[in-house]
Amino acid sequence: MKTWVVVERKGSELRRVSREIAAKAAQLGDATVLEVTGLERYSPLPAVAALAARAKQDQPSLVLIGATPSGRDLGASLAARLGWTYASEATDVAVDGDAALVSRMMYAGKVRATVQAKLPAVVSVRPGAFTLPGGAAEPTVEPVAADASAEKLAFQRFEPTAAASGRVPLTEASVVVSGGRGLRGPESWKMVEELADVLGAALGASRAVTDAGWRPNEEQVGQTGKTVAPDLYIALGISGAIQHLAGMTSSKVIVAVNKDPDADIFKVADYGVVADVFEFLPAFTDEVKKAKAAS
Amino acid sequence: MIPPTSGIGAAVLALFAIVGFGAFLWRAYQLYRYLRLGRNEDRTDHFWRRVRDEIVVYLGQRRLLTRRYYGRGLTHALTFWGFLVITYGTCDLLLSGIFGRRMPGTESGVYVWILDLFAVAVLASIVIAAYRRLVIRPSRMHIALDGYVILGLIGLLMVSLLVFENAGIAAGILEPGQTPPPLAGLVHLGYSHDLALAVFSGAWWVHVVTVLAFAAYLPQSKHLHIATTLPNVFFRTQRPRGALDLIDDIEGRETFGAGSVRDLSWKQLLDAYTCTECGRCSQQCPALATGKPLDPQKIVLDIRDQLLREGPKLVGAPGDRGTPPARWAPTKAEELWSCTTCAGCVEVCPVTIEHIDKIVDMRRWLTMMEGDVPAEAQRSLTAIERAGNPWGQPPDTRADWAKDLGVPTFAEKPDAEYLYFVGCAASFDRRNQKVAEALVRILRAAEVSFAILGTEETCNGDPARRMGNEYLWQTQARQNMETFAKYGVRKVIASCPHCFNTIANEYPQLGGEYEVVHAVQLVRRLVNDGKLKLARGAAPRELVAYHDPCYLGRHNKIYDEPREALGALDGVEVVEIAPHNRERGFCCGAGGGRMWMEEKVGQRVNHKRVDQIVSVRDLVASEGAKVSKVASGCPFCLIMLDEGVGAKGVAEELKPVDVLEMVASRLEVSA
Amino acid sequence: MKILVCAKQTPDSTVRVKVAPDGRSVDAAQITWAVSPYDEYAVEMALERKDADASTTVAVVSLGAARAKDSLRQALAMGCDEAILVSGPGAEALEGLGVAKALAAVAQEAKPDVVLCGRQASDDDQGLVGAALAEALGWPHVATVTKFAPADGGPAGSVNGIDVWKEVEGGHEVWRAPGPVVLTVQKSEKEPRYPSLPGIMKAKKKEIPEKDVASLGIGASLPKPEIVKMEPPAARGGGKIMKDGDAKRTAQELARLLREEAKVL
Repeated sequence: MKTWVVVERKGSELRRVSREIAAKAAQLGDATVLEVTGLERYSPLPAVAALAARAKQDQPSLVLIGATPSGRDLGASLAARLGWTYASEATDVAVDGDAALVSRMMYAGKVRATVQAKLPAVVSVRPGAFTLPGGAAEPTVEPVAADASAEKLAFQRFEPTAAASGRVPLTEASVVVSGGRGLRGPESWKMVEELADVLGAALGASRAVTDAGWRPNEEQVGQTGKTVAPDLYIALGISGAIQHLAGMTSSKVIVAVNKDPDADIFKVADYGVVADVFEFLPAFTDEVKKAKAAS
Repeated sequence: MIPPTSGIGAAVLALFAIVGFGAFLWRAYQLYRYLRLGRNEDRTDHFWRRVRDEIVVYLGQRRLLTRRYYGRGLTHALTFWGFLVITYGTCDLLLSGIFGRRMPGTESGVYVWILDLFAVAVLASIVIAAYRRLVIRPSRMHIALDGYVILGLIGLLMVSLLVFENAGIAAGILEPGQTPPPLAGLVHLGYSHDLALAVFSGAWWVHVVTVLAFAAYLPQSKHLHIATTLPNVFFRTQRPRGALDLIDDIEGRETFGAGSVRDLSWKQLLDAYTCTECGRCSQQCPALATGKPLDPQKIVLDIRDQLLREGPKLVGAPGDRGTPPARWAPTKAEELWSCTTCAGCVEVCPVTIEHIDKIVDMRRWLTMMEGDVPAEAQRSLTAIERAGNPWGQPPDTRADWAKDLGVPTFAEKPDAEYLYFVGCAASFDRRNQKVAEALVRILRAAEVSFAILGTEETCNGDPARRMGNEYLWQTQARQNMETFAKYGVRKVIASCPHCFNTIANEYPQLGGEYEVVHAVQLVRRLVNDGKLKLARGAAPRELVAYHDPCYLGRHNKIYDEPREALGALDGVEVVEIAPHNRERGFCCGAGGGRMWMEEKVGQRVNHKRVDQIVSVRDLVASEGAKVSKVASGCPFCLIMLDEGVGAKGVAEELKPVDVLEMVASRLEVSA
Repeated sequence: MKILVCAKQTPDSTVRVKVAPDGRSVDAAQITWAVSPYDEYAVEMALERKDADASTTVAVVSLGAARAKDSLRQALAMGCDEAILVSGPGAEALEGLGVAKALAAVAQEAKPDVVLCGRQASDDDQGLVGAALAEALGWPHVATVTKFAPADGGPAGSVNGIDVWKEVEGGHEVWRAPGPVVLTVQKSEKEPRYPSLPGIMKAKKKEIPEKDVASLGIGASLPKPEIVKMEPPAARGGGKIMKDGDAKRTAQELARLLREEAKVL
């Protein structure tokens, strides 16, 4: 079975998810790793035109693409152009005869589904769905020149976000690290920020914290603050009053760290740690660093 | 005394009277026309209750003679009663001065005595009032020239009255058989007869001209309340305090709420004319006290000022709606959203102004007409619409708290006597679920037959109604009423005062009449009837501060039951959070939909409330006793107090609890 | 400017979706339906255009069961001018490519300058329809859009190109589309507006024309992923609680679980 992997770069480096799916495709056998080149900025039409033309020659059965913002767009456009089956944001992919079995979340993370995507199919894959084997070789990437003649849009300009922190906006972050009164004071946020940096997470806070002026109001998560639904929500020293829960219970995975074993936050947590947050947090940040470095 | 108005004098006086009263009437007519710009509202129900109010509140000055205000209230009451007596005398002076006739009874010795006594009492009151304005300058009071003018005029009236009486006695112009005014005659100034006559004549003229000037000035001034309080008290609402006004035929309307002075009712406009600018409402307001832009007095005065500004234009132009109230100032909407509907203002207003209705009517316009709602409020309104609870929690988890307790639903136990209407807070908030569990234990211990609606229960609608979405309230109320009807529910227990208030006081507006009790009322009754057995024995002394929830206390006058329920527990003593207790209780900050809105300006209301509780605790501690808990009877108060003690760092030693939890922890353990 | 918004009706975000006994679908009982959140942003984005230029008209189209009319009414109440429901046998079963074909047929008839879709629907979370609709129409497409505006210049009333703000890491790319374009919406500038009561009342009475899906000539069945299994995610509250006491060991264990079990690291 012929598998395609369409990769994407950040700067000159391949994106992690691209390497993950390339490694996975290698396991599936007969993999070709492609990169659309010649585009200063991603735009769907020239990319799709080039890939679709190539697909007609190559006849791959399965196209894997990283579920990044442009990957999702390109995957959907390509599937539509070719009239193939499409499944997005896969957390696992297996091939079963003439179909791909794709694990993916549905209903905003409330349902885990396995879908059968009849081949040929395009599947976008979530970052982290496949672990990168230790010491995996850099895949050999074959360039596919974008078809500039297909472009109908004209790039005008780039407007950088005047972000003071350089962090992801709270409501769009896939990981949120939130602190509560249990952190005792604004000085503790150094530790929180360190974890957030490692995770590429946005910072959140309980109302008590923004009230006390430890953190700016924009970071408040809850009924009277922002409503968030990240893939991972880490609540540090937050007791879990309903006002806070109303803003974060839709998160896909909730981790709570609190020294009070009766704290309400544990009732909604997928993973709870009863511990002194000041002891636990540095240890956990180290572990996450290790995990990130290893993979 | 024989008036000094022989010949041309009577004609001059008549002319003055025509000018003075003419000016009064002309202005009064204008004000009446502006008043009629307001929408119709029937305020003629409960006639005898209105008569009683008139006697108690207007004539009896009951709302001035209240705790904290007795001294000041008395000076006002004396001035007011004096005004009634002296006005009668003034009519007599004018009648006799112009037509040579007397008002009946004015010749009696009793009247002369009373008049004289009041003249002195009023003068003394005026001196005290002037002293308060000039020297004490209470912060609540809006001190302006107007007040001094009025005080000056009244003072001049009293002085001129006493002077002409005194001179009249000296001149010997008492009518035959007339009782001499006792107090005015005490001083002998040794006038010659001619001088006495001249002083009499001069003071007499000064007096009557001042009266007429007063009449002309009155409707230009906040002292119009002298005239408008009479109808304002009579037409005060006879709805229960906790009930907002119903918008009937809501499906058939095109405009909702107050988008113009025309949308305020004539009574709301009369309220605005009646405001005396005393500032008592402002002094009670938790929003103002914590630095919010809301000032209840300003809400009322803005209506008056805008009506006087726009009135002349609107009277002649039926299609002109003027500026919407919520847009009278750039900050107006924020003022309106700051209100917790705690009713501190309504409770304390001496002239029965209804502040909350105005604020809610303006919110109704913002919410229903403009869709201009604070983002967090919008979120909870949408959550009520879609999930049946303002926190947007999954509706099918509403009864999860009851599963392990085996609490039956009406579907399972259709013959239950009581419905326990749990409410959203106790259904979804984990802290308040413990209160629901406590109530279940109490009801079982007392063998009360009850059931819940389970997932068929939905938000009672109170937050929506107070956030100005009357339509959503009606939708929620009707849905609950249908479910009540399905199971034949007649008796309802609520542990949340907001559920209690809206079901007891507001559902009847839609035809839903039930026997509704708040859980603490029921507990008190069960203890009294001996049905609820409490553990007896050597319990250690425990001091518990009691925080009055607004919708239990001021809105429904349930002050004693929770205190008695706590007091019935061995060893428990209730500590009052004086002076902010009972009628003067200070809001937790969560009423009026504020539970779901962010407080962006000033201090948090709940933090201020905790400060008050802490200072009472410290006071008690200085006497060697320890207050370890603060009890209330409302889930929102509990959430707010929990947050407040945490923020103030006193969570460990001052634990917020619900009265029901305390009672449930002291149930007699059966052998 | 003429805008067409595609809005799907999905279970409201407050609904706890449950897997049906067959293990391959969700239990439709007790579901409150609402406009899918990203589509609601699309409606708001269109209305923000209309606020800026009153001559703008906004039509909203949905596809599916008759109950989808409630969601269309929600969009009308917010301020959309008209609504269209594509219904009839088979309409509900359409997915991704099929939906795109049906919507393309509607768009070809309505001739909008801009078609807006949410970035993905909150039920299947596929995020396919916007791109596929652009393909079906042969129009360009911009994803993760947060704003658009008519390009400057040209005679009044005519649309002389459309500038589109596309959210990317670190800022926005501004692209210009010369003619009609399909945009998939990430977020509107403001939160979706709260409909006024007169708006709701008007929307209640408004006639919503239905188009029979059969009349749109979608043709042969298009490939779509078939659900073979559905399961609820690990139950909330039944979460793993660690109270080992040793910070380092617990941290290791949590990191392992997040990486291997939850797959979020």
